[in-house]
Amino acid sequence: MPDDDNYDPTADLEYAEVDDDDQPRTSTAAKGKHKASVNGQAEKGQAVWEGTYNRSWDVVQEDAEGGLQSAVDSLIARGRRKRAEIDTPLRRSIIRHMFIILDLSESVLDKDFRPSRFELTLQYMRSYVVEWFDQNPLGQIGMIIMRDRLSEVLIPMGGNPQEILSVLTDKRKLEPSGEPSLQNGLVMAKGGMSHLPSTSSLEILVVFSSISTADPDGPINIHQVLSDLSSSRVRTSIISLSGEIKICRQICQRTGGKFGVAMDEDHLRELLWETIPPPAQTQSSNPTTLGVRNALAAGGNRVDGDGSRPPPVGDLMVMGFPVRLPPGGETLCVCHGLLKKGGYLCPRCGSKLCDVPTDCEVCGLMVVSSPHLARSFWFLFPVAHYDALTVETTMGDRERSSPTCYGCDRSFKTMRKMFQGFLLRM
Amino acid sequence: MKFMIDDLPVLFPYDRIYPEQYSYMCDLKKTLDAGGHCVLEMPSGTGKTVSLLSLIVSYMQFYPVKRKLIYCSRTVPEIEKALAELKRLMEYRVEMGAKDEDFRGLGLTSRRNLCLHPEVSKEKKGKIVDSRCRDLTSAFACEKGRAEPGSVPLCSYHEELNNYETGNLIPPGVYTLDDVKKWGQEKGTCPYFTIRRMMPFVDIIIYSFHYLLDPKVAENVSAEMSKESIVVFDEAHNIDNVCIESLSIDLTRPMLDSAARSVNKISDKIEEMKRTDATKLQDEYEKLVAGLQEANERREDEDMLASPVLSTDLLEEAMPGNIRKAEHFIAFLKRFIEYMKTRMRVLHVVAETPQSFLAHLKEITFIERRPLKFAAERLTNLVRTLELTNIDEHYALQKVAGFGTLVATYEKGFLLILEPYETEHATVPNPIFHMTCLDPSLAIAPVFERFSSVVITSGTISPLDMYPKILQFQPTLIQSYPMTLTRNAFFPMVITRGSDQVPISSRFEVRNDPAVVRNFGSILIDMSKTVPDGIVAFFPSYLYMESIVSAWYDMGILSEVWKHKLLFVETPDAMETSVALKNYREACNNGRGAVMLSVARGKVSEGIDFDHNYGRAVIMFGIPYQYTESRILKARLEFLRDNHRIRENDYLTFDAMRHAAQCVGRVLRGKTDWGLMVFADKRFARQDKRAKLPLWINQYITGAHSNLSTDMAIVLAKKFIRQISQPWDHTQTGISLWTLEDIEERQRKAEEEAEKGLQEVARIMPVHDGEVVEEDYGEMDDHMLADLDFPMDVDG
Repeated sequence: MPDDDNYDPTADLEYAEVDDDDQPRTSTAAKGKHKASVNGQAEKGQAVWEGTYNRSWDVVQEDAEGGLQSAVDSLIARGRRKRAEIDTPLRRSIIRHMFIILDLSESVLDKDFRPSRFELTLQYMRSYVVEWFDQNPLGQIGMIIMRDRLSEVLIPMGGNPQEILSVLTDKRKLEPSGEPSLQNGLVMAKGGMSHLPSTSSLEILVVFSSISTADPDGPINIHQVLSDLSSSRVRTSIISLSGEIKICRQICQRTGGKFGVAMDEDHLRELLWETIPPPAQTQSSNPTTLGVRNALAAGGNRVDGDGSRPPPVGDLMVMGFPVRLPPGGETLCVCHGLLKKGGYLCPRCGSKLCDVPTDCEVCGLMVVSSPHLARSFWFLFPVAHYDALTVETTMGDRERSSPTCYGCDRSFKTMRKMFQGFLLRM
Repeated sequence: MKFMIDDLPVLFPYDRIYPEQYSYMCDLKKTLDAGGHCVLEMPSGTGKTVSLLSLIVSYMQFYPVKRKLIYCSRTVPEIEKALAELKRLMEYRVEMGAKDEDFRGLGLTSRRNLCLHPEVSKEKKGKIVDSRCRDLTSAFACEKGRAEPGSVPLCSYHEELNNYETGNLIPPGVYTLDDVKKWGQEKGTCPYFTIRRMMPFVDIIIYSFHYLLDPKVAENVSAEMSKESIVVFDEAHNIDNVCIESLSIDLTRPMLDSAARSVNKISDKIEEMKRTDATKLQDEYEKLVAGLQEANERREDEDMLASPVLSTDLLEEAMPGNIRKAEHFIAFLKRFIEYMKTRMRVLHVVAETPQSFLAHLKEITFIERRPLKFAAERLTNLVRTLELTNIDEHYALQKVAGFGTLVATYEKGFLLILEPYETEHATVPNPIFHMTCLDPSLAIAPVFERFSSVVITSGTISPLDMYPKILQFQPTLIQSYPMTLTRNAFFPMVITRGSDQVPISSRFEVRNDPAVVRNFGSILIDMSKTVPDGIVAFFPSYLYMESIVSAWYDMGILSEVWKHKLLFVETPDAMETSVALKNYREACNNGRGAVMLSVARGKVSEGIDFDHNYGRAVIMFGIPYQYTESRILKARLEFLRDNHRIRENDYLTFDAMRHAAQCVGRVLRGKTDWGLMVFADKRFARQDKRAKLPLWINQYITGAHSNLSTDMAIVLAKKFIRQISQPWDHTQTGISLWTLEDIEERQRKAEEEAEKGLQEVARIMPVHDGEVVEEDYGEMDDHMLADLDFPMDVDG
């Protein structure tokens, strides 16, 4: 095993690939490149002695302690396997609405994650958003930031990753300062989702970097916000960059989300990526199913997102497939009110939209394109799991025949290396 | 679950058991079998109380000899906890079909906590409740009240008790304090006296140390305990201080004044009585002449003025003649008080032995030693004869009389110290006359003598061999148990220098050095940035805390901490501190996070648990040494050196480290809990200091973590917090949690090993085999074998 990933970028690449076993949908090549860039930056961004001091210390600590690190590692591995196992039989939400709350307090300037918590979070966020929309084409993401004890909506709920990415690259707007207020962030996120039907999967993901929350003194405290969230079924997951905080853990437990503490850069990524596959559906408390007729009668108000979630199977929801305009002359779009080329026409009201999937600004119809729908469909019929074979049998075979995949003829380089490392260590 | 330890079936109310609990029980049983005393240390939060109770109850019920358990704990909440645990245990035993119908378990606490009387119970102060209760329930009040109803107010709850059969005031079973109160409320009986009168009939009594150690109360409360009783002192790490306090008296000028006033009042009363009811005084006199010491036996419930000396040191002789008459005694007291007042006028420090005090006393006032011995006793008689009410008015006089008795009774192990000024720099004299006991073994000796088995146990009672030395007893067993954990749930580290490499220490010479203060501050800042939720920080003393906190304020350190956490400070005022604690808890609960600045040896360090999010880190700023300039401490050290051959430094370090351990132990209250322990002083790195920490803490201090600078410590802390926050397999079964099968397996293995050891021994030394086997059956360890191997090697 490489003991120092700062000096061995290839090892890191490898690790990223091994990592992919869990998320078969991610594009390996892209991620590999991205990982490499992280490393490159880390090397450039920090002085050499800084790095060695930090890293060598880690290594020493592991050796002396022995138990803890390896125990935690094995637990993580076990958890990964477990997650992979329970994947199949769940019914998952297709339509997700998620608010990502970023902690932009002063604590994100801490450099214990390389290059800094702030940089790393933004970096991961950019690839996360892309990945997320890739796997949840019908979902929508909004972004809220917390700083100076206030929260502000960075990006309102929307289905366009490009928009989010462009905001995330503009660092001038994201200057960290002050302390975060978790309560304000949650209240704002909940407010931003209050118009959404309780039947679609409402989620909040908090990337929390500081160790405390400075909440306003007032009639409402964070515990009330918490019970509000749990009663309106907003699944809240919190990823902490610093440690277990009681209130965060409580929020996650009560709302059915996950609480995770990132140990290092890779672990943070792993925790983030865990939230990408749609969560299992929870039973809605009031199975008020609006049938398709009701939905139509409602005139496509935003209440139309009912559908597959409550028990009556096969309930329907209204969607429209838009007409794509040729990229000719510029016309005014309803979503931004700007003159733009190209776009889509809503099949119900005929207004022009810039991008799909989205909810039509005029008639509220959910406008999707059929490839999106098809991709979401994947989660309804997931691929069966591969059978795990022992290393001996497979490697034995390989040794005799060719160490390549019979399907694509690619050599099992990583596998081989791992095995060698394994042997060496023995 | 039910398992066997040797031939004793033990019923344990949970279906899992920690390994340390099991070995604790085994050792406890050995001690009880041997009929000796033992000192046991088991980490806090590993279920000490329940293992103790379940083993002892099983033991009591299994063997036909009727033995009682006297379980002493420190605070009322702890007593409540023990009672609740006992109740659960007994319920479980009933479920399992154990036959203990006649089993009674009760807890005793002060009247203030138990009183039901509509008016008395509203009083806040314990003393006033006691005195008002006595007025309503004392024997003469009762007699009078019963003779002519309405003449004297009586407590209906107390009266109601007379309608019950003695020894059956409350049905068998285990009652928590609340249960007894509820029962009292229902039946209209007094809970306090129910418990007091049931004491001879209960199987388990749970109360505070004082009821057994303090002669002022022990005589009344615990006199009737049988010799076979098993005595347990839980949380006993401070037991020597309790012993010493119970035999020490401090007098101040205002107290003497108040005593003088009460003497005058009493003498007025005597005059009045002489006119109205002279026979009574005469009666008393006659009785005293006849040497009827047992005059008080008739009135069992009056514990108004008990003798301050130990029962064994009580005089069995008749009252000396010159104080038999009431007026003579009053004159005697007046003289004594005047003498004390004169002594207090001295403006320099005086330290003298009781003998020299008595000699001087005799020279000036012609008060002999013998009558002085009887002062407390005689006062009690007098008060009884005069049927005084509102005893608390005469509190100071009682103290003075007690003082006299103590001085006259004890020659060794005591010292009189007069300190004219409160602090070193004070100019206004405020004299205090200390009568200090230097020898903790005096107060506890009767307990060791009287009871066959005394168990001293606590979470932090290291170094274990110190206790037998200072308490002067022969333990049959001394044991400290490590903590078995599936993960390192706590992380002790020693910070010896700041980020700027300046060594940090609370040593007197450097403690106010700006560099040290700033480095202490930067530890607090960095920790408050790193550790989520609650942090508790301990300082060696209030004085030092005040100076350092004000220095931090000037340096802007506090405002830096404020950005991350709220700050709370412990004060000597109990009310203020409890408000601070309440808000501290709230801040920990809603995610704001808080820092509690408190003092080692303070209330917070002793009785308050900071479990889970209430204490994720504890920081010890400096070593909590006692104030070494104190004359009392100096005298005590001298005594220890001369009599027990304990070096001053050893004792000071021992005392400091047990308090440090007590403080850091606050954060870890169970196996699911986790926390950081930061020792910020370069002296903690020294082996002689660290060796005195409890085993379960010490085993986790590795060499790598024992000499850190602040920045290194923070890096480690961050790492630890992240790792410990990972989801964790809570089923520790097999490693740190045993099921019945695990126990049986362990027992089988132990047996096998013992047999093997036996054979080995037989092979090596056939001659000695008998002895060895008897001594160490089942405990043949490597040590022993190594020892035995040695002669073989020489031979070969």
